[in-house]
Amino acid sequence: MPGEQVREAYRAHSGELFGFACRSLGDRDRAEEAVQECFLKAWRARDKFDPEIGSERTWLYAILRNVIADMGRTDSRRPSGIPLDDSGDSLPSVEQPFERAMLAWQVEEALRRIGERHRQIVVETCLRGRPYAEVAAALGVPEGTIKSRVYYGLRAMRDAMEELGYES
Amino acid sequence: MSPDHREIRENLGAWAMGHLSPEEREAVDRHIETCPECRAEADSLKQTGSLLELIDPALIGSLSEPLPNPSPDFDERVMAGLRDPEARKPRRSRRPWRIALPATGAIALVTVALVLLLGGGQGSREAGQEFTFAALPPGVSIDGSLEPRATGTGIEVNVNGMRPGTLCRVYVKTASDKLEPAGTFRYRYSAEEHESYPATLSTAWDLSEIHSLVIKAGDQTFRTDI
Repeated sequence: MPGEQVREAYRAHSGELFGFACRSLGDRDRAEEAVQECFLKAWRARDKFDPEIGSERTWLYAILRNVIADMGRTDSRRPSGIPLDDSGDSLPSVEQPFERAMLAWQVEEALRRIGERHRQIVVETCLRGRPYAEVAAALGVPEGTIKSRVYYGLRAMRDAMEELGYES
Repeated sequence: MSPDHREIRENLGAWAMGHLSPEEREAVDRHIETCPECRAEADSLKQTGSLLELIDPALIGSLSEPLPNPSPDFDERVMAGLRDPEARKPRRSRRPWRIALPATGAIALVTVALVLLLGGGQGSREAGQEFTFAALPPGVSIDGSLEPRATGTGIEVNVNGMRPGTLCRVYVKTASDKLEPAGTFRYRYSAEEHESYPATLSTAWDLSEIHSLVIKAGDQTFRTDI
């Protein structure tokens, strides 16, 4: 991968990587440190990137995962939300728990993107499990409206996941 | 789309989540047996709905809250490292200064602090900018706004009148005349709400560096100067 491509990758993905790091570490300064280290490692290892093995985005997330894992080892504050491995590798090997953590982050990010009206309905009915009739009464709308908003909310979430690179 | 078909379709989300009564579920099951379009939509929504299980229950209350932005000089620090990793700028330390600054350094530091205090910091950050695309097909409109952020520029795009589901790729053009990707979105329109949904994107380029905005929608390309 040429150096310019790493810089382009930074422009394209640093925002979501920073969000992922914030969510994992719970601290903005430490998240900045992790993302900066992630891109330095990507820069140094850019010749080893193989697009046939995985996408640039997945590769960056995997590097970030290892950076966060390393920070967790050297800092007694183990990051939450991401299962750590003990391999100590500085470069990624994508594995199931990490993919799950990354996917969970994408779902969270997709829910942030779909707009308040749909998010509210998806959260109340699908995540909190409140009955449609109860939510409808609280919002002063017919129950059928809640059903259709669940439909449009899930569709919006599906589109947002696609924008984030998720392939079903 | 017949009224029955539409009613069934708008129940597909609740069907996918297992929220329908047995009678309603049976009606949907009967319909999707003979309607491949709704079958595919139902399966797709079921898969999307299953992803919600990944959400940590402790985070549900914070889903409406924005995540913090990195500090204003973050991009600069990272990009400096990508030019020459050994020369990267150290991150700001929370520790008190331990080394006495040389006189010139101290003067420079005071000058920078004064500039920041007198208006060189957040307060003087450039204002956002609105845009409207011209020369669009009949019935189509695209407008929106660019807002400066600590990490670059936030882009909100409002599209109207396109075929719902059209994949739109957004690029910014800078002084180098090169197209820099700023994200993609699908044009979403709610027939129920008679409403289009804005797309929220971002780019690491500063607003002052963006010369034009380009949207490739399907096989068409639109551009507006900023």
